[in-house]
Amino acid sequence: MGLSEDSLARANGVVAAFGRAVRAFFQAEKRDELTSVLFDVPRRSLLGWQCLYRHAPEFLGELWARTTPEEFGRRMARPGARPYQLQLAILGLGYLGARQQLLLDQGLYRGDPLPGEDVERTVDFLLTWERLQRSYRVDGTLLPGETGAATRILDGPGLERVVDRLEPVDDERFGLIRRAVAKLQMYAFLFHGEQRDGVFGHGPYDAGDGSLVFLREINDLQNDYVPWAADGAASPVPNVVVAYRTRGVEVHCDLFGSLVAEPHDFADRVEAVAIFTAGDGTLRRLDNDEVAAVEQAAAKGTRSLFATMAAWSDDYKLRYGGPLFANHMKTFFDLAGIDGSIGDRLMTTFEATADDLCAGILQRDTAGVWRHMARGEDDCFWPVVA
Amino acid sequence: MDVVGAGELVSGKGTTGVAHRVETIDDVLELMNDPELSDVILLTDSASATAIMPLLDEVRGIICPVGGRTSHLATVSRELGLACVVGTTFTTGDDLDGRRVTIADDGTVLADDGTVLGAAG
Repeated sequence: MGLSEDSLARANGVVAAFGRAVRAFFQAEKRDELTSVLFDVPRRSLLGWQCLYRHAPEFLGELWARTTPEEFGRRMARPGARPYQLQLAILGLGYLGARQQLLLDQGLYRGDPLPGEDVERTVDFLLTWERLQRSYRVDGTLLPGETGAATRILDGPGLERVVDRLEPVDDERFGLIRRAVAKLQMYAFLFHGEQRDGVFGHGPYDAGDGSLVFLREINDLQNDYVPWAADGAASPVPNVVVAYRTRGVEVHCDLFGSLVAEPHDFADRVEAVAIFTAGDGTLRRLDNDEVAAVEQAAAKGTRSLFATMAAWSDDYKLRYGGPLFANHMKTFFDLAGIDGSIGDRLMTTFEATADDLCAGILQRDTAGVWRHMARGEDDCFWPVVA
Repeated sequence: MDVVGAGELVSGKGTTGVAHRVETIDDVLELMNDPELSDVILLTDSASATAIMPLLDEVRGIICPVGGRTSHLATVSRELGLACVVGTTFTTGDDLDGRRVTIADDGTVLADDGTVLGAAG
């Protein structure tokens, strides 16, 4: 089937809209100035993006042989689910970021074709990504910026199931929840090599009485896939979901699934709260002992992981990007209930690509595409040219 | 006690402990095994919590010369209920490392041995 002009135009619409959102995010967060004591974050991302650019469309093709993007997007739209907004954003960023790096490396300009690019493959990937993103968000929008920095994925019945579990604030329990969330967020950030994976905020949802509900989730707590997983937390639950009903609080969600509340210290504006773990269509309340156990596992895992990661070689501070991005991809197949060899094939493929790219990327002082994406004067991502 | 510095208390309440400067991963690994960790107030120059992450749930407080109410360090400290002073200015070049200090509720930092090291910033 040939490539139509309409498909190309629609794909380039996605490129432009996503690019504007990415640039706004990178500028606000000063991402091109990001440094880390433990990891080679900018170059690790570049490596992971190249892994996605080379392999994601073909692997995802195996998923689309069994389900549709619309069906899969709706399946993602529930508490505790993984993949979530971050994986969708990483797919788009990875593919387009790596492609943009190739354009820059070859000294090309906006409007130039990328030599050797399979344009049909790129267009198909982008349009499928758009379908997935729009079906995941309950309002059918593409990006949080279209709805005032909101990310709403729960439909009416889904929200009702959460609201039904909210409890009046008990100071002791709320303090326990706050500490647990803080330690879980730190743990998730470290486990994912300073990528903001595993921490998801969504909302705000109108509770109907002038108050707002939003959710903070920490997932991937029982990961046994990445090579450093054995040093992670032995969490008793796979995910933790906290729902807040507040008054006088504003929340802002970004492209990568993060949520920021204003005021930052909103504890005295919380009217009701719930903490639970989510399974396949189930929400189970966590009692105080379980919250304490999750918190302790996270604290122990953080210390153990830090010691392990502090000993990583300079080479591995970059090369861990292969497994890190294979982990993103595997979540799609986990949620679809597809197991078998896919996890092993993803890991083998991404690690081999990381090995292939590592030496070349280490020659770079900085990743030029980061500077372009954060500070460039033209489009963040250049259009696809047939 | 004398005022040795001041910043903004963005989390927790006033507290007293022994100041420890943390600059490298080795500093963090060493402190992780310190049996007196619960009496430590960290001195760190970074407003990112990542480098000192394994220490945060056990130490008594943090003093940082940079950062503000929205920095990563402030956000994490708030959820942990940890005393955290950011944007701290010291008036002398003397190092607080190893000395007993007090963080006051208004963000002032005091040295228990009477040495004047800083002023409000």
